[in-house]
Amino acid sequence: MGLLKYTIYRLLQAIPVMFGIAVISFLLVNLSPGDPVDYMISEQLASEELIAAIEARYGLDEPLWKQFLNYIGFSWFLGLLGIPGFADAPTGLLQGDLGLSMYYERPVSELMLTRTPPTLMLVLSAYAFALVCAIPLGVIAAKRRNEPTDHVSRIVALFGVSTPSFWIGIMLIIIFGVWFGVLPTGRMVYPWRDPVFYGYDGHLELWYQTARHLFLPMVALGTLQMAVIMRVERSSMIESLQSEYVRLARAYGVSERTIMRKHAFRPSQLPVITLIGLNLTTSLGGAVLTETVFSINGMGRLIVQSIQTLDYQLILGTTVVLGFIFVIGVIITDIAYAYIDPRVSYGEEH
Amino acid sequence: MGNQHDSNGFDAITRRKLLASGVAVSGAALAGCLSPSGEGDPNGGEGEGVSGDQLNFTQQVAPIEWDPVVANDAYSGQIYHTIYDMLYEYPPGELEMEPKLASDMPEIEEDGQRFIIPLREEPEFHNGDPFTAEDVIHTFTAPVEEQTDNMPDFNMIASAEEIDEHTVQFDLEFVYAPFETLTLPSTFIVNAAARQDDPDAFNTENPIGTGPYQFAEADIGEFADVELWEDYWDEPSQVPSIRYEPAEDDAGRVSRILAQETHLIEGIPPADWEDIEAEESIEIASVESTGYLYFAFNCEEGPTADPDVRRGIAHCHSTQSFVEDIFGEAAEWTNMSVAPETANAIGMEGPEYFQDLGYEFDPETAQELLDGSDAIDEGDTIDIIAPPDDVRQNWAELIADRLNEIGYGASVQVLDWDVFTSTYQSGDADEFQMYTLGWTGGSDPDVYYYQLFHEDNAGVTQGHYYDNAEFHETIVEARQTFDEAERAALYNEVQETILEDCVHIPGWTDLNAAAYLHEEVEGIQADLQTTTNPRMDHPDVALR
Repeated sequence: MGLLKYTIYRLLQAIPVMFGIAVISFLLVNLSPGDPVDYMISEQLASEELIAAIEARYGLDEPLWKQFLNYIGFSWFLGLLGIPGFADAPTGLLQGDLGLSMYYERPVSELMLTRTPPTLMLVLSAYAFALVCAIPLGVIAAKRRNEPTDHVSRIVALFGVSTPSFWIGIMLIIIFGVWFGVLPTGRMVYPWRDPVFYGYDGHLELWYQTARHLFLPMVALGTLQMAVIMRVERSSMIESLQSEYVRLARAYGVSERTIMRKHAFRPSQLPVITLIGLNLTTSLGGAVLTETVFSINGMGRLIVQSIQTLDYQLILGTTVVLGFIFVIGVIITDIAYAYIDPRVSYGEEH
Repeated sequence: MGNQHDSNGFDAITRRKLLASGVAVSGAALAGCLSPSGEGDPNGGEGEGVSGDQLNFTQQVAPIEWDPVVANDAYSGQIYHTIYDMLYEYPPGELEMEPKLASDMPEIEEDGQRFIIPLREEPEFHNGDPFTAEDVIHTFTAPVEEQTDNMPDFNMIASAEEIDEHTVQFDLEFVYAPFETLTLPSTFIVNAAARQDDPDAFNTENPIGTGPYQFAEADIGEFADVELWEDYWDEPSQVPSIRYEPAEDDAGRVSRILAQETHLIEGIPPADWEDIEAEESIEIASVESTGYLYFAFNCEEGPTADPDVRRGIAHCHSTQSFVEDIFGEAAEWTNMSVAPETANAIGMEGPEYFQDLGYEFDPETAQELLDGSDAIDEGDTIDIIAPPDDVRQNWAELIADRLNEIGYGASVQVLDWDVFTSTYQSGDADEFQMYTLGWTGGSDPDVYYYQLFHEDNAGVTQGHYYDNAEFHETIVEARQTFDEAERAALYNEVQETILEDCVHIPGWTDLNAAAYLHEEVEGIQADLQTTTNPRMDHPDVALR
């Protein structure tokens, strides 16, 4: 099977997986104890009339099976077919409609679209920071195995892996923001905004301030990834350096530099790529806390707010979309394998 | 053969290069990014210092909407109270009602079922429309017509009519004295035509009021800007513009004010109160809020249906000590089920009057009461439920510990808000015997006593199901009485019954506070309700 066919095959396979994600998310949200309307009226004036009005507004007065059909978007199709009881049915997931947030009273997709760029900027910069630090450190640690350099890098990795990102964030804020006053304690300056909005003279100052505001959250979020990648890079490099083909290359008198670069480094990157592919989506979990600590208006904070306010539509929307992103991330990782390592082939018959 | 330490090999060169480039890049990045904070714009143009002509206000929760007809959260109110005016308002930190958009106090007719309100002629909306009776009528009737979350606040209105362009008449379904003290001075008047033209846009991007500030721009969760309206009809404010930014995380919010990146924060965590107060550049403005925290008993079913069991539980711990230990200066212990300021406003007795009816820490009496009750046996467990809030959970655990010490058990269950709400509303003794909750309260005792105690609200805003016909009649009589002295006497009676029968264990009232940089900003005044705390529409607020 060629790569193109394999890609199409994997994409088709992803459809039932995505449907499964939507179904399970819907059931988990709706079958868990509690009621969003109870949350909404928890500490405010309420009446039976108000409760009924809120339920009708968000379609919560419908039976669960109909809520499900509405959410997925089947009701809309049934309405088109003229099935009684589905006339004027709302659009749903299949029509690209993630519903209306109960807390924000805005479309979920609109909220997610506005919150995605800050999170992408944070996660990608944290990954850039993690890779820039982790790969050289991992290579050096492998090359200098059991020497002081290696010990230091392992201690750094252990610290990174075992320290929660929100704690690192708070410490960085206290040290660099409050004690020394050299970096902002939170918020973000976005490079896509007009400099005038922030009162800056031009784009140079805007970018400079973006870097300053991004620095601490980037380090807070990237430290864990850096530590994980460094450990994998180190062990993978050690394995490569001990492999027979490297020993053979050395026997042939190939320079250490060439061995490192061509024979050890490249094949060692496969596990790292897998890790990056899978962790890019899971790192959103870290972004949830980092964004909260640094008051960054991203997806992570939106997820926290959706759960805190029991906003069914928003919880569902964010869960389903992140689930889809994860599936797509796995597919991209698999495909990337084939490009990077010609030894990898897919679905060929033996 | 290659050598691991061959100086001509890949590793040495790469390491050097790597280290050198790493150090250089990191050094350059750090040197570039790390610059001392100084005086600059609020967003850090030349550091993170605050100055210029924009006041930066950090909120503890992000606001979400700008139309007071539909908005129901206090943090949106912190912004839109600068955009809209009310018919009547209270001065900061007080409950002495004054006309604002109304030109005089209301005329009350038909034994308290009709209110006639004269309106000012000079106010104009931000879009140039004149302020008229039609705007008032729309504001007061739309919540019920559109079934918004604010519907219960206006359910008592039977009709609203325009007598002339500047006089409006409300007829009520029943006699309701708090219409004057609660409904009128808490309703922000919207521009009817603009709102009806495009309600969604009015709520999200184009709110139009008669207030001292105009809405400028907002990105939900990021910021909201309001700008001074030069043609304001009343005494103008002095701050050219205000930027509201949320910081939900306590540490983040406190860091912002400590690092002087914001002029003002509201929502001061009790644990940080002393540290913030100790800062020379920061001052705290505070006032006792209308909020009220309490423990309620299941009075209908289970062991706590016996008043002696309730009294015993109340005596087994000291709420006062708990509040003083946990909050320090950030809250005030109370023995009343109404905010002291609200009680005081209509002339009710204060906490001293009810002191003898309170429940001080007295384990011997507690033991005696519990041992003497047939409703509970030694070793029985009291089920306590609490919402996901550390302080209230601690309070519940304190009671459980004390009950254990005198031979009676208690289990504390912390439930998510939604589950908690449906559980306490059920009144089911298999689920709970005690619950702890809070109430934002308001400017009239009715909002406490009717909502939290009257049988009409059993299963809605109260889950104790306390049954006492005379007590409920007194609450209704109080809400239908206009004479303040008579109302005060009735509410004193209600409060006495609550304490005697131990329906609630009153807890505390929070302080509404704002910490601000006093060298940068002046005139900050805390207010009783979170919605208007601090009062940013007040003309005394200014940047130095």
